[in-house]
Amino acid sequence: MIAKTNRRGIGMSARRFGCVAVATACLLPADGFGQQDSPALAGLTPRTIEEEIAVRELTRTSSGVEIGLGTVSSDSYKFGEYSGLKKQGPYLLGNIDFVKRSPYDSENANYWSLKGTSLGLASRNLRLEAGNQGNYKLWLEVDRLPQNQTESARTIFSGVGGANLTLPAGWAPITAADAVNTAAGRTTRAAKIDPFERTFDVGQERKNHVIGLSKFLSPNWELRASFKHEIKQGNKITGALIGNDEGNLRAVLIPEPVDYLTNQFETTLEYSGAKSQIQLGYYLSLFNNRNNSLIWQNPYAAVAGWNPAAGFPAGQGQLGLSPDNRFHQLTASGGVNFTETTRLTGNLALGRMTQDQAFLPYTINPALAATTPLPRSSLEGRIDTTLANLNLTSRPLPKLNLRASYRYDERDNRTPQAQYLYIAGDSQNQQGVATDRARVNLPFGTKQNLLKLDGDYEIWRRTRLNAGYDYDEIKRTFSEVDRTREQTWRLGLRRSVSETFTGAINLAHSNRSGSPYNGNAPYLASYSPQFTGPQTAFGTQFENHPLLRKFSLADRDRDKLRFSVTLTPVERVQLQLSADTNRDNYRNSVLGLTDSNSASYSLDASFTPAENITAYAYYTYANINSIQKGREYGVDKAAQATPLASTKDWLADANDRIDTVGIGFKIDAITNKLDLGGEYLYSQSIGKIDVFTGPAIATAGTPLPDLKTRLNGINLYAKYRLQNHAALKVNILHQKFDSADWGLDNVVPATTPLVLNTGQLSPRYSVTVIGFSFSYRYW
Amino acid sequence: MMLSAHRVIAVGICAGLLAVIAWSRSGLALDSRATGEGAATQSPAKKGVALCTLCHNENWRYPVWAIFQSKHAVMADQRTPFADGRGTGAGACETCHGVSDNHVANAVAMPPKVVFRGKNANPASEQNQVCLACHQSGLRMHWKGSLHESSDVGCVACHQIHTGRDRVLDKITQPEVCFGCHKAQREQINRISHHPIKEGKIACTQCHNPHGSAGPTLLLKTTLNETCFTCHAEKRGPFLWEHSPVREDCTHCHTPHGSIHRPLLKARIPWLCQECHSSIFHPSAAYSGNNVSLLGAPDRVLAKSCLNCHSQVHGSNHPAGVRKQR
Repeated sequence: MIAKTNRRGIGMSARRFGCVAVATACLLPADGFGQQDSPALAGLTPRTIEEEIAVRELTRTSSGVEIGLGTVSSDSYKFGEYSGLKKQGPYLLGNIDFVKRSPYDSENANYWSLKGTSLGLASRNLRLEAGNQGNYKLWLEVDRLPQNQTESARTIFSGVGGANLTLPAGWAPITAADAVNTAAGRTTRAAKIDPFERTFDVGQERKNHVIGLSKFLSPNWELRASFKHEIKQGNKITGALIGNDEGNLRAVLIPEPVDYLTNQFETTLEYSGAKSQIQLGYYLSLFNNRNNSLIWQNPYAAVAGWNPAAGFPAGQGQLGLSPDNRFHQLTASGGVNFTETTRLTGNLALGRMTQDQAFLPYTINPALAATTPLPRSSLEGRIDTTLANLNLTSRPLPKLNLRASYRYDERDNRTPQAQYLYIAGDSQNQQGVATDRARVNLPFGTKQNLLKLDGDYEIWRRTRLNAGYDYDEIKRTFSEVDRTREQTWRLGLRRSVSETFTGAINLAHSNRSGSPYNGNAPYLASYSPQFTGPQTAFGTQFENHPLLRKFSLADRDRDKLRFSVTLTPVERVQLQLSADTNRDNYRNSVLGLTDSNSASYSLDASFTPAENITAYAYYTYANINSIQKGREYGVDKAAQATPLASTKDWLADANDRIDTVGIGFKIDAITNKLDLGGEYLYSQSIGKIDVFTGPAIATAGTPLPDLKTRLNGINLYAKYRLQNHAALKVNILHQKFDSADWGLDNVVPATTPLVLNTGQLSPRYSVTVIGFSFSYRYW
Repeated sequence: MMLSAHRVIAVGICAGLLAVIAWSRSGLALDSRATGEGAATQSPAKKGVALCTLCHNENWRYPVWAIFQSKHAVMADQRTPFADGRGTGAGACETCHGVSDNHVANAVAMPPKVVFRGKNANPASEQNQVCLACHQSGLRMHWKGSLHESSDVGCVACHQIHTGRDRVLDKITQPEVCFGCHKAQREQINRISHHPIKEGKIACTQCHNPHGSAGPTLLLKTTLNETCFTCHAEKRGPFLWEHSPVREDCTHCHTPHGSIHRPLLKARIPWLCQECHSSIFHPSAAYSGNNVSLLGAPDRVLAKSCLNCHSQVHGSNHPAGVRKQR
């Protein structure tokens, strides 16, 4: 493992950030605030103290603070996934919103604001902004974002959180005899695994610190710069394999440490004129991973096909973790109004991604022979990106709008190629050039040309007919298809801004085709000729089945329909109906994805039965359906390569359905005294997968159990206003969540014979949160 | 050494910022009020305010006073509609609502020249022209020809002007505004796997620029992947062993707003992988309920399925990682 310098000391700590914030606040423009009243408002020129207060409250932004206590009824990582409310017990409620701004007619434009949300939680955010409006602005922000994934994962390893996982003393390896898919095998494995299992928490936390500055150099020129420093720490579950062939693979799910640092710097210089605008920019992103690799001790005894040294106890595995990388980008964009009705805008962005982290060895196990060294010590990976965009809009006639745009997007992958004689899964000696262990890396690149033409015409008052055409060409390197072309025709009608009716309907049809599909092009480019050459004699010179068409490259017909209508049948009722559907047909795909459809329909209603009551309700139905075909083959590879149909074909029909209902209300129960409100949310999803198999497939396919989730949530609040702009609030939130996932349910670490899994549970919870808070708002 | 270097940079940045602030306060400020202009109440802006607020006071059906809480009303900022330095032409309310002498003369029968809401509202394109007179640069540069512009979305459909707090500019309340039209996304964020939008930690505008952009689907960056890499830089590479669909477009496998297949996947693994992988033996095999009931090979379907072994699906930089197992 390559150790790196500990970087914790270089991150901008919260304390240091706080010092900067305080120092900045001390330099804030303090003069002028509140020194001048508002004499210009003719309707209420203040003459009395009461009127003066009224003017102030009406014309100045208020500040406020909310503090309180809440309590969570039970533990749940899923409930507190992003909020941080993962543990039972009390928590602090804290929100602040301070704004200090000179009166609108003051002689200066100084202001500052300090806003904090969820200050008592792990998801807290604090932002300070200050400046002189129209002159300069400075902002500082601290943000925390947890992602709690599960509390039920189990592992046998020691060293969780680190980059070197070891097995506990007394560990008895899982042997080939144990790794069988029988009840007896599961019992034997459980006897070895269970005594050493312990749970560990899985999740990450992002800590963001942002500092930014904006300065007007003149009335038309503005310079902006910002720096974002993010630390992401925690862990995640990763699959780790030892083995080198279909028959000897042994895996274990292990905790991978996450310790990332990402620094982003962005600056722009912007000119803003009535006729033309320009923006020049530079963006830099630096990613650093404190851990280069993850090493684990092999919990399996050596099996046939492995070098015996790869097995327990000496054998180890090593994963390469995300390498450090950087990205630079120069951008220029501009717009010019040729006339009042014609405008041209354009963009140019030139970027470079680079990655040159030192390579790990072919294997971590020194006993494995590696006679041919690595062809390079690091990748020197580089992708140059070019984005050019032109957009012309014009209104040649009062009722006619025309738009044309062209986009060029190139990702020129200049990463050097080399042949690597790799050692598969830290388990065997290095193989020769004439084997499938000799591979050349393929630096994929793309080049896109996209032309879009659109127009709309007002056929009746506030009713417009629109039509459009797209031509999208993408060229790829090291791909099965060198070039795809997609044409899209669009037609739509919309009626806008009517008292009782607005609506739009849009249809689009696309047709994608491409150059001939050479399914084995990447195969021939990556494997050695010494290996692929002899394969030809057997008609098996391919990796993916020749009849497979990858969906991102395949010929495709696509139809889209979008529809929305808003009705106001009576003054206090509004109804909305919307639909968004997509239908893809991969017309020439014998194997692979053949059909993919999605639809979403929503019905919304809002109701205002009285001045002090508003209510809403909605229902959304969503459906995602896909059909894909495959062919099972092994030693009969040559025989199965060419027939358009086979008794070993299979078909998978996946269907996801999601129903969501939302209901809410707000009541101003006692004017300026008591507010009541509530929301109810119900969301249910069902994922069905049916698999149909041909008669020659040994085990007939059966449907899978449904994947299910069901969320019921209700949130009620009451806010009682005291005198002097103070208020008391009580909030009750109850959520119940159930899920069923056959990939997790009833799966314990010993269930899978060749994968020592974590046995985590699919999430379910029933949590109630009650919060009491006091808030005060002032002007 | 590294620590020291970064400390120096951090201190340098802070010192630079403080210097800029000090410079900003040293007389180069744009505040024309520093010139000692007298008789401020005589400015056209203040005359305009006095005139309009005769009727549009706090008791009026459409009270407008909250505009004075907003940045638009800051008279000392010479860019605003209420700037004192606007000269003798339209100013204050009339900067946006147009010179409306007829409305002043006959308020009931004649609406202002430009009306943004209600039955007298002007078409969105006319309303937006008012806003674009000042807001045509920066994030709004590509408004003309954008999806929202060509769909007749008015600026005020999303923005509130007569307020000190525009809810679409607040990360927590912004999604409510967007979901007013984008119902499918409103549903998606409630799925088991979702970005923290409903939790108020990610706003729509952290990925999208609703005013139009050089990127696809109104994305903030010039390409979809660049947008994703702003938060997921570890997946940027370049890698020794690239996964071609990943290099091309993250949404070949992921759906950003929400999915019932974790993590934000468009379909369930292993079938998602098998849409592109059908090589000999286990990648081409038919997986079904058999594998769940432990009759078949459960290792390839349960837990993380294909990712039990092929964990480095975003690309691998390990010399032995060609099969994304290292």
